[in-house]
Amino acid sequence: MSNVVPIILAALATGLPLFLIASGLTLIFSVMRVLNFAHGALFMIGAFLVSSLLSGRSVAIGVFVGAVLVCGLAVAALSVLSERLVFRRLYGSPEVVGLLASFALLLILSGLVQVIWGSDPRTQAQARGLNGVTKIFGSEIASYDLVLIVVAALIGLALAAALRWTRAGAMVKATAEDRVMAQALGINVGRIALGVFAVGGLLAGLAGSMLAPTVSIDPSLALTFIIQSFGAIIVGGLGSVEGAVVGALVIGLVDAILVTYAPGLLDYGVYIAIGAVMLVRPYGIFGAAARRTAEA
Amino acid sequence: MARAAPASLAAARLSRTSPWRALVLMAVIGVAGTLLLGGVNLFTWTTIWIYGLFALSTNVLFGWTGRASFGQAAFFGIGAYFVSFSPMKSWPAPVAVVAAGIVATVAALIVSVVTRRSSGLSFAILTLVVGQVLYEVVNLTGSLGGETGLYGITPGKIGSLNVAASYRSFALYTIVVVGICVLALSWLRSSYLGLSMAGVRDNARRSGSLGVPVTGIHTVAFCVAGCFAGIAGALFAQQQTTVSSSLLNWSFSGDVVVMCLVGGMYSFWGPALGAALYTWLTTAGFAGSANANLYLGIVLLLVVLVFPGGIAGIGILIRGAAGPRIRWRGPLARQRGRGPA
Repeated sequence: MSNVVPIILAALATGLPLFLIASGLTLIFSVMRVLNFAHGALFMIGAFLVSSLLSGRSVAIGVFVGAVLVCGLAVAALSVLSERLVFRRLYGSPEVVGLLASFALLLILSGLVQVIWGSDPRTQAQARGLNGVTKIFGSEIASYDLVLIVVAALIGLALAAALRWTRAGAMVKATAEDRVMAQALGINVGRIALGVFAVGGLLAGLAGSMLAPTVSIDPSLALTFIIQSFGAIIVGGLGSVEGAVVGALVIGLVDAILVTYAPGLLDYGVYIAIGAVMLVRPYGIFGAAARRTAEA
Repeated sequence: MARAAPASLAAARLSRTSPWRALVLMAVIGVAGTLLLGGVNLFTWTTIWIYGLFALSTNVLFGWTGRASFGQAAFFGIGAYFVSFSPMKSWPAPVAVVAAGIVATVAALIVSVVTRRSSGLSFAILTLVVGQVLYEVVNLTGSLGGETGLYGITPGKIGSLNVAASYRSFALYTIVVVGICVLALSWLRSSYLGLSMAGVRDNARRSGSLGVPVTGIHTVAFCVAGCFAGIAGALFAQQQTTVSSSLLNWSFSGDVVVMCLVGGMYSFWGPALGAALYTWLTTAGFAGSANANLYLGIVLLLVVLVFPGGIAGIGILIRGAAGPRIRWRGPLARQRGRGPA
C-alpha cells in the first residue's frame, strides 16, 4: 500500500499533460470529424520553440512562463493556419480523407522542424527554483511535476467550464452534435471550427513548451505523443472532452503501475490500456455506441 | 445513386490491365534498368522493385477495396523477420520468400478477426494499434535483437546458384519474384474477386444486397495485402542482409500509404510509381536529406486536396477531357445530402 501515493502522483504527472494534448485532439474531432495527426507535430513545435527562444538555458520562473505563453500562442496561430488552408476545404468529406490530409501536414511540419532545427536532440533546462523535490503525504515528487499537475488541472477545469457555461461553449457543443442544424440556427460554423483549432493548437503548444524541460526534444516527439494521445481519446471515447481526461489518466495510471511493478512492459502501457478498455467498451469509456450506426 | 454505376464502370476501365502487357512491360523495364545501372544505383533500383510490390499490395486494401490501413508495415516486417531466423536462412531463397508470404497471410487472417468489421477511421486506428503492438513486441524481444535487429542474413541459393553473388544477380532475382507477384495481382484485379472488391469500395451496402459477402471480401483483401507485403519484406531482408524493428513502426506504414496516394491509388501501376518516387526522394533525389518528409508531405497534401488521381492520374488528365475526372471513390467519396457524417 505504501506505493499508492507515488503511483497516483506519477499517474497525474503523466496523465494531465497528456490530457492537454488529447483534449485539443478530441475537440477538433468532435467539431470537424478530423482525427488530426498534425496535432503531435504542433506539440513538438511548442517544445522546439521554447528551447529555441530560451536557447535551452535555465531562466527565472517569470521569463519561463512568458516564453511558454508566447510559444502557445504561436502554435495556436499555426493551427488556425492549418484550418484555413487545409481542413476548411474538407468540410463534409469522410473522416479518412481528413486523416490523410492531417498525415500530410504531419509530414510537412516534421520536415520543416528538421529543416529549421536539424535532427539532433536538444534539451531545455529547468526554470530556476523548480529543480527540487516536494514531499506530499510522505512521498517525494519532482517540484516541476507538481507544477505540471496543478497547471494542467487548472487549464482542464477552465476548458470544461468554458464548454459548460459560456455561450461559445454551447455553440461548440451544438456544432459537434449536428453541424447542419447548428448552421440553420445561425451559428457561424466556420468561425467555430477556427476557434476550436485555435484552442486545440494553444493547448498543444502550451503542453509542448511546458513539457520541454522533461523530455529530449527531437523530431520523434511528434510520433510518440500523437500515439499516446490517440490512445487517450480512444480509451476515453472519440469526441468527448470528459473522455479525454479519463483516457489520459487511465494511460497515466497504467504507465505508473508498470513503472513500479513491471518496468519491462512500460512501452506497452498505451496498448494495454486500449486493449483492456476496448474489450469492455469498444467505443471508449465515454463514447456513444450510437456512433456505430452513424458510421455504418 | 444513379451516378455510382458509371463511376464503377469508369473504375474498371481505368484500372484494366492486361497481364501480358504487364509482363512485357516489366521484363523490358526491369532488364534494361538492371543492365544499365550499377553500384549504389543498382541497389536502389532493386529497392524500388521491393517497395513497389509493397505499395501495390497495400493498394489492394487502399485503392481496390477502399480501406485505409495504417499497419501494413507489420506484415512487411513479419516477412522480413521470418527469413532472418537461422533455420530459414539455409532454405533456397525463393522458398524462404514464399514461406514468408504464407506466414504473413496467416498473421493477416488472425488480425482480420479484430479488424474486418470495422470501417473508415476505426479500421485505420485499429490497424495502427495492432501494428504498433507488434513493433513493441519485437522491440522488447531479446532473441529478435530488439531495436538493433538481426544481422548477417544470407539470401540463400537457388540450387547451386548464389543469388547474392552480385548486385546484378540479386536485382534479377528480385525482379523475377516481384514480377510473378505483380502478375498474380493484375490477374486478381480483373477477376471476379477483384471486381467484387471495387464493388465493395464503391458501395458496400449495395454490394452486400447484391449478394457480395462484404466482410469476407474485407478479410480476403486484408490477407492478400498481408501476403504480398510479407513477400516484399522477405526480399527486403535478403537485400539489406539486416532487419531492425523500425521496419514495423507505423511511420513506415504511413510511408507506404503515401506511396499509394502520391502514385495514384485508382490506377493499378500508380502505387509502384509512388514507390519509385518515394525511394528516389529518400535516397538519391535529395542526397538522403531529411527534406524528403517535407516534399512528400507537400505532394501528398496536393493529392488529397486537389488531385485524388496522383501521378498516374496525370496521364489520364492529359489524354483528354473525354475521360472522367478522377474523384474520391467509395468510403472516401463525399456523401451528398446525408447531413453530417
